[in-house]
Amino acid sequence: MAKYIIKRILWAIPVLLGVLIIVFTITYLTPGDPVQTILGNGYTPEKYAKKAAELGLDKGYLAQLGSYIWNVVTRFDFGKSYMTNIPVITELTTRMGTTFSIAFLSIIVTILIGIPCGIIAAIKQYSALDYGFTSFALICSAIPSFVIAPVLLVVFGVKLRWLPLSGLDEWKSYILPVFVNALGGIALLTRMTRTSMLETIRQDYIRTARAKGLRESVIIWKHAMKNTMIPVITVTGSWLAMLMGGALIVELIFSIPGLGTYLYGGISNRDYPIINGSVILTAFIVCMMSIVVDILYAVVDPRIKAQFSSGKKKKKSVQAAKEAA
Amino acid sequence: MKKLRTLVCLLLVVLMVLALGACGSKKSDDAEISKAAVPGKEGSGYKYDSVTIGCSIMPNFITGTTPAENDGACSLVFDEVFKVDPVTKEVKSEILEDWHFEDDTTLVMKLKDNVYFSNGDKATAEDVLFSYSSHVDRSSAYIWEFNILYDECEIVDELTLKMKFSTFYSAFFSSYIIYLYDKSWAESVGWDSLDWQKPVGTGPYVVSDYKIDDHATFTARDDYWNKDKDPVTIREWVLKYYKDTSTMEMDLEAGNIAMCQFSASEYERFQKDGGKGYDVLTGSAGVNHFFQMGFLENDCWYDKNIREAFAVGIPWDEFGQVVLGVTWKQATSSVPSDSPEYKNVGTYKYDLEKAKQLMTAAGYSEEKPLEIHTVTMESPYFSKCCEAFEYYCNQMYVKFTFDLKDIAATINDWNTPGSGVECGFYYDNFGSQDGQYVRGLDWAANPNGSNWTFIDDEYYDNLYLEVAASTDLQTRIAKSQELQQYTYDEFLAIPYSEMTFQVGYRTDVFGKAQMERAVMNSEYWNLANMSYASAWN
Repeated sequence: MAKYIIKRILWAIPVLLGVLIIVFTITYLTPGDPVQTILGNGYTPEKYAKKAAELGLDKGYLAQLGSYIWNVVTRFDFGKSYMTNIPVITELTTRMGTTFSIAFLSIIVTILIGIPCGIIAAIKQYSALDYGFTSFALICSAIPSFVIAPVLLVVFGVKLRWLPLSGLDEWKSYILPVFVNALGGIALLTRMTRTSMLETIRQDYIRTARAKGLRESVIIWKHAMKNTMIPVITVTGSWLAMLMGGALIVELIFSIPGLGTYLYGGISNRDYPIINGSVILTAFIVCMMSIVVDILYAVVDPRIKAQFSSGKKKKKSVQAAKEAA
Repeated sequence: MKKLRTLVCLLLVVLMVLALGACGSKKSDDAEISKAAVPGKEGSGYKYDSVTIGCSIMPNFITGTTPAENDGACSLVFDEVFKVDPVTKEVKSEILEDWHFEDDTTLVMKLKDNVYFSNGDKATAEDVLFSYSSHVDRSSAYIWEFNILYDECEIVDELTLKMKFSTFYSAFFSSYIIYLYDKSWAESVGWDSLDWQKPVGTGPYVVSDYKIDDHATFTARDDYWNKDKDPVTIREWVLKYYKDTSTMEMDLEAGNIAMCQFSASEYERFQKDGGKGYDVLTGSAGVNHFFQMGFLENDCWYDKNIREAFAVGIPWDEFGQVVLGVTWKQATSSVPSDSPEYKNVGTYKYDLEKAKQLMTAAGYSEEKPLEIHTVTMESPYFSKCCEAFEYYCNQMYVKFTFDLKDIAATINDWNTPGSGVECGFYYDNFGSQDGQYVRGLDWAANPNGSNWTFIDDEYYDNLYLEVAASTDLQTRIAKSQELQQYTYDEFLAIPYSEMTFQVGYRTDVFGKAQMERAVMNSEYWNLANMSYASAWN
């Protein structure tokens, strides 16, 4: 298992390098000139040349790319923001905590609501509850966050004045952004859990368990649950990675200084170091989440764990099986 | 399960009732005191211990480095070398004892003897010089936006300096604001330093907390050099940053912030429904909105018939109302009506038939329309401008096409000759505090600006440069009025609205008269002005 994890981590290196090259190339080729954006109208050619040299944008593509990769790999240096002059890595590490706290809470809410709803909908198929939860999931996935967020702000912030409208100054500030962030995930997870559970409870081993006279709760929670969880883990993992990448809309609307707003500002101003650094960080998180998801597969499914076992362990288990025979 | 179902149903019903109740017509209680302002403790001498206001730009104290900056925040930390009285439009200075012109190109400034920075350094003529010269050294945007450059500068003594200009620029005092920097401190930390988040200045406040993209807190200085003249009454200002302005406006409505700028759409809603607990003030931005013709990009604009056809063939007042909504204010000259330079030259009378005749005289017809193109920024304002303009053009033998691009790509095209920017909708973001002509059309006589803003007319350009070089106010006013008339008569740039801005404020925190004194032209709030005891009288 350890070997597999190390192998997966090593695989992440060329993936991240590929992302770095692609993102750098895309930003390089995108129309618009950061020097002109900074200087505005009516600059002289001398000023342009001076600013371009200052930002290292006077060199060719390969020289810029090479220097960028070298700085990232050897010094973990993503450069400084053209606009604020603050090192990108400083901003990324500061903002990551904010985005992570919201993403983490959102995923907890998503799991706590989405999975039970999905299970209840599956085991009570075609009941009022099933229709209720399925409709709820459909509504949640149909309403985009940029619609629901202002509505919630008006209702709970302006009219009822129960919850703060912006920032993350107190615990109550987390409620609306976390809820808005979680809504899409709840919808996705409810539907995914329902489908997966329905598939699982129709399998032979569940029928056998029922025939043995096991209680329904034992069948569901002990026997069906683990198999149901495999696709659910995949969805949850990718959802968390997406949230960590910066829930742009939520951060913008609730004025939260996270990764999403940072990337948004970078794109608006053609601030290449911010764009590159944010995308690479997001790619890194996605890679890590994919590794975590693979490990979780092994935890919930012994068949997958057996595939990952090392040769020695396999031999031992075969020998033990022979001896037992 | 039956219980659970009942519970879920009950929960949904409660939620729906709450939502409906909240969205009903009943407004929130206006008697509620804003959370944005914390009253001062008894005996502290402060009216408010803390006041929170909203801003859509994170305070940036290195002025002129980015297109956007926050002068309200800067006014708390620094003193301006020159500032303009928002009511009389008179140029003043808090830190200078005297300033005068020795001749048309030599300005003498003498600093007061008791101006001190927050780190205890005494302000000297070197600091004043540095406050100007640093813009050149760090390639600040100011140096091409207007001429702050001098050919020579002589430090006469510790407090006096003499600036010699090759050509003086009339908006020197009232356009972008020059803050007094501490030379030795600035040189010791450098321009890249994060120390600039908490800079050293001579203003009444220091930055006590700064969290990027979140907030900045300003605390009153006990050792402020000018505090005996007019003591400050707000101990702490918190500038809360909002990326999304609609959230900011909702926070004002909920009383979580005491003041913020208002968008046009929210202002429209305010005008219709009113606001409980808050009011909205409209101010002049010191400039007008113009339709400008890119002489260097399309030869057609040299033909006066065509220029006149555009002036009379498009109902510009109607156009202004379409694109600006309730914030539209009729422009009757090239400068705003509150400018000391203002002369009412009138508006163009809409006459489509005459426009068609003029276009025919210029050689165009329905079969052979004039083709013009522009590139501009993708924003609701510019989209509306282009769409409305296209509609009116279609009626007068003109085929107008446009590309909407993002800011960076648009600026690129505006600066690249031959990019197809043959006309455009222009307004200067900042203008000047006294509404000068040369700031409203700041590239009109300079072919090195954007390639569609230059007006290629020799008489106009010479007159413009004379206005720009005036050191005497009366001479400048007379020449500017001649220029306004000439612009109108020759159809060189068509103003379609005065530019206004809106500021919302909690009425339980600030008074209307106080707001009017503090909200300056050029969308500039002088928060320091709002802090002084005299502001509350």
